[in-house]
Amino acid sequence: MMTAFSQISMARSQQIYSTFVNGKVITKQAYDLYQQTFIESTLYTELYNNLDHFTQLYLHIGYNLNFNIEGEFFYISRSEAEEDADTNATKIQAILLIIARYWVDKGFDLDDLTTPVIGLGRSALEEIAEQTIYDDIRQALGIETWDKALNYLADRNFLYPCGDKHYVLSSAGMHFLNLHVEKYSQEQE
Amino acid sequence: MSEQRLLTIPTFSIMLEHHTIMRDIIREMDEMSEPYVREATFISRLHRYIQGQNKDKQKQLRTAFSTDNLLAAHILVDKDEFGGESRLIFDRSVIGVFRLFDHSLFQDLTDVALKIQLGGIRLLLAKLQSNTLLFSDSDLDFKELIDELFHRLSELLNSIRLNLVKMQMINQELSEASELAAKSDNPQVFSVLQRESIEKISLLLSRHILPTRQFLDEKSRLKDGPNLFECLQSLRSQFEHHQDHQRSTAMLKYEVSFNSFHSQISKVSQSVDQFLARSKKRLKQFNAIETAFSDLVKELGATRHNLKRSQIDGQFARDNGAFLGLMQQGRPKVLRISSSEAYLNNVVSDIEARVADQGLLEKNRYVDLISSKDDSTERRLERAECIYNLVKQMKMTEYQDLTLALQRRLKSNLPEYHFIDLLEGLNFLMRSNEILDGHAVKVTNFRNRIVQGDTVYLYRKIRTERVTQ
Repeated sequence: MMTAFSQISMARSQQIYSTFVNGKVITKQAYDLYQQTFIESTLYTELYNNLDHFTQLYLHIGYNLNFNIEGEFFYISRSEAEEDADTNATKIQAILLIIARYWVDKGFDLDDLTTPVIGLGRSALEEIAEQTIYDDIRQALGIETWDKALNYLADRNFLYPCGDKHYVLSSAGMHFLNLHVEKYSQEQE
Repeated sequence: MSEQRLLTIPTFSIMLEHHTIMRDIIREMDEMSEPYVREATFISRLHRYIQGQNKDKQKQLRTAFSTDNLLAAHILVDKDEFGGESRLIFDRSVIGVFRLFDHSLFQDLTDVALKIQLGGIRLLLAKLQSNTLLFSDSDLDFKELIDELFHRLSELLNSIRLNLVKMQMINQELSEASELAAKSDNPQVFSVLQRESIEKISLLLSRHILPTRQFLDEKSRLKDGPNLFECLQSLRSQFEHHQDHQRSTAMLKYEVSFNSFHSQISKVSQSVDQFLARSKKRLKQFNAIETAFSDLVKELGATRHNLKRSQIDGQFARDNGAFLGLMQQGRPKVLRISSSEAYLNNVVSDIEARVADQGLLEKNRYVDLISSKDDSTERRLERAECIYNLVKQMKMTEYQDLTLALQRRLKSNLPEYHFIDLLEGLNFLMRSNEILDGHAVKVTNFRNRIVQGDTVYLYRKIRTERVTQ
């Protein structure tokens, strides 16, 4: 049963639209800097509860609504392939991989990246910036500085700031890393 | 080796003074899980140690550690030949003393060792239960049996206690090992070290910690007879039955002590369990990310081999298949017509400017130029002057698109207007402060097109803004 337009919160639907067209993902939980905790996203709940409605809505205006169940996030894309979009995905994936590589290299657990009290701190960011290989990759992505690289992820909701120069990975960001761990585990079996 | 003989005490005191020799020997034996050490190994270890000492010490050590001297002092119980090798067997009590000096030398309790100890206690219990003994200290059989029982219990308690100390230090060792691993720059070394420590710790957990824990578990049921606590309880009731309250209390104390060991060893086994689970998870994560990262580095390498490509290709993202198509999307354009005052003012002032401009033009009508064959330079100069005059007369105001305004003007007033005239006009305009009349020129990033014949020219819009002083 499709939900009628009258039953959808217009204000939320507008917020969802403006988040999507800005190229962001909507995750189930978003970190709230003031409450210092992850809180459930009302936009995600709205999308989740009225999935058919929003899927149809976005199809009607020329987009696909992508719902990632394991990663618990939504985003929209156009059906035709666009080069810009692939460039974006490359940047996001590569920066996430750099963060993850730094993290496992230290012998840390990747899950700690999603824990606000641990997260990606100032010293970690400094150490990443110091390594030549990471710096070379950043340049080959066409990103001028590390601040811009992190903002690139934060602007799209892959990272949430949780303090001064302190970030925590969103479920969308973590999903990509989990994907690699699962892929590796399957190859090993 | 020296011919001199020393008594047991001086020999032993020299061994104690240089206890690291024995520590290394015991470690060697433990690692090989053998109750003896090969003479060749022993001598080579001794030589290595002796080299760092002065002459007098060297002589003293050679004397004390010579095989013959050790045998004579009863520190070695036997020296045998086996398969062409000479093996030295130390007295157990000597080895025991050296184990006391170093936690790492405590022997791990195995399932078998524990079962043997339990077997001995069961045997003693069976004798006490057989009703063939007189429960009296004056009975020598009974006295010997009781002494043996207490000896065994205290030995068991002690060996478990020492093992517990060693196990409790595992966490420290683990963190040291992982620190060592983290310090290595080579990620492969890290991965190998991690795997090795996981293997070592799994073995310790399955062969030593878990059996000890099970042995100390009150609730464990054994196929071949009563468990340790059941034995202790039976012993306690036997003593109580014969009104021997002191010994009955002693049994209770043992029960309490063993029980407290159980809770301590449970803690160790839990933390080791968690460490193993975490380590395995981390190792998997490490390998997975390392694989993915090496693909990324390959892509980076590709940009270095190809001059045309300075950036990592989008194929990388497509292969991984996450977040494809994520980008900013264009919003619907709104038609910018409105009835607001500001908007209308803009339209009106634009019209006014055009009318005023036209008026100025009417006043100074220029003379048409007629071409002739040989005066091309003159003609171009005249034409340039003509354009200059047209531009000079232009009414300067805030144009949204200066190029378009200029084109309109030139196109309608210049015969055989050509695109090049527009460029010339713009050139005049933008270089002359007089014509600009206090307006600033802003080249914007907005683009527009103009058509000349069959050609479409794309240009960046130029805006003029009044500079308020």
